[in-house]
Amino acid sequence: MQSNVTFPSKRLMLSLFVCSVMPVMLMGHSFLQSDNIFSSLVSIGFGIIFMLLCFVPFYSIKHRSRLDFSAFAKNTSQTGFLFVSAYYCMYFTVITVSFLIRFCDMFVSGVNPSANTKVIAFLILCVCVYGASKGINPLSRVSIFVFAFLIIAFAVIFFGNIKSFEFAPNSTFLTPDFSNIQSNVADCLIFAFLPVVFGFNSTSTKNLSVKQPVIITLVIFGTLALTLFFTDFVTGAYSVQQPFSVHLLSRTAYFGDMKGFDSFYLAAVTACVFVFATAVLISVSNCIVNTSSKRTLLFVAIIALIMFVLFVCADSYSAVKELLLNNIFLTVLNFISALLIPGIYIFIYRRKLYD
Amino acid sequence: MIKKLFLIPFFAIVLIFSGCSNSNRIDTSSLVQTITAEDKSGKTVYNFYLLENSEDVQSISVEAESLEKAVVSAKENYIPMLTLSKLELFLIDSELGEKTLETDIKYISRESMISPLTYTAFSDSKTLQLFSKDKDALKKVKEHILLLKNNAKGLSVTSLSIFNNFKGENNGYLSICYISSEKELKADIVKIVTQK
Repeated sequence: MQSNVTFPSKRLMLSLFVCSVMPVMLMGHSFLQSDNIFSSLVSIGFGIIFMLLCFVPFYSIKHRSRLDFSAFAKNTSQTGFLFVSAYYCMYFTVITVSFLIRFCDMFVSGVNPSANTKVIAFLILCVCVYGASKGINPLSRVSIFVFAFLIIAFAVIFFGNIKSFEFAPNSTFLTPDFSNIQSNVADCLIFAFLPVVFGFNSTSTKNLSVKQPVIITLVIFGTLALTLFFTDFVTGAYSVQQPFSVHLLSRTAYFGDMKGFDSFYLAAVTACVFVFATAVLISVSNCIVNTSSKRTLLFVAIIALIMFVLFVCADSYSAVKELLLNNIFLTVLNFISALLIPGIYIFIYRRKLYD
Repeated sequence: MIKKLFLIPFFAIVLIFSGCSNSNRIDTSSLVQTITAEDKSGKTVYNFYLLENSEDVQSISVEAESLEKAVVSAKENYIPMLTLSKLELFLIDSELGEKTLETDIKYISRESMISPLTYTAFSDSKTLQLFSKDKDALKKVKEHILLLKNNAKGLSVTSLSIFNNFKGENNGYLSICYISSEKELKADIVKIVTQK
């Protein structure tokens, strides 16, 4: 829900970083499946370039009109925006459910195999609907606390694994091998949902500069690279046996007799999921053309219910689950949502933008 | 304000009751701390020593071909809620050889509930029998393993490092601990050939 209170865009960037930590922490053992530095670096490079490209349309709109994409699109054509907002509601539903599935899978495999994932998803969505009713400004403040906790969690996980770190690359590590390059690149491109979240929430921000998206992109992929590095050289081949690499990394951390800091990992990833789902639901609320806050909340609750229904479908039908977990499918959606549609809007309404 | 005052305790009650279930409560008597694999007259017997919470040592013994089958059998026949999340030590009789070690380590690596930092070592049969009599056997064996680890380079003491070294290119052999108690409890290094 749009608000007249402005806040520094750095806080929004912080929220985006917190959202980005979630796919990093939930990466499976098949993420960047190549024990090869060249393939990993090329994939990360593609990820950085694509994410920066995706920021461009939203940054241009914000820089020129001081509005985010949703507000700009509503001002240009409300009828046209109805169709566009329907697409974006579908897009936000798909990415939210995709990451909820990953989170629930991690919860079941690492915490409680008999946990009812539907209850977990329902509770998360209920809490996030409430959070979405408060708006992006309070969420960005919450992100400050979550970010502080993430620093502690990452410090514990990385420093706790320093003693187990063995830089012993195998023979294929330094030999160029691009056999899995397609899936590796797709793995890195899933982060492109972040510019879309930015594009739907940046109206209330101030002091946006061009270096902010650049810095946040580099920090996100830097965190990813560091996590991959530790996963490769601490857990090694063992990580292939386990579904979630960073969860394993948290279990191998130790300081003297104190072992297994998976509780830090669980708390961190849970907080990130809440921030992510809330940010997406706030983006959904910005899809609505001007209406009362009660109706907006009702609309968000309905979308959250649709998300839950999709989650239940994915839980029951493996084909749906496979599609939602397919990174190439998510990349295509990211391309359409972050580049194609905003690009078309900028092209068609360029005079309005540059006036 | 009144809504929040009503909603917050309501959600708290829902969360508490949705989590409570007698069937899901983990009994401390189902937490396994140590597993030993013994060779008894050509048959492999797995002993599960439970978390110490009394004067007596509590354990269950299961005859099985592998740790995976032993866990299934133990859950079916003895303790349905058997949990390996607190497993600290896995000792294998040296008579069983590295084939058993490799199979069981592979099973441990697949189970996300089992800590990758579980100490794993070979041992003689006398040390394995110590666990059924001495409550402090786990503590003593761990101390010896740690002491050896601090003084020996390239020694694999955890299931994580043993698994990786079975897979890795490490000059074709893997060094692990061997615990013996002929005269007194002692830890040595034994090398296993891994190159095929």
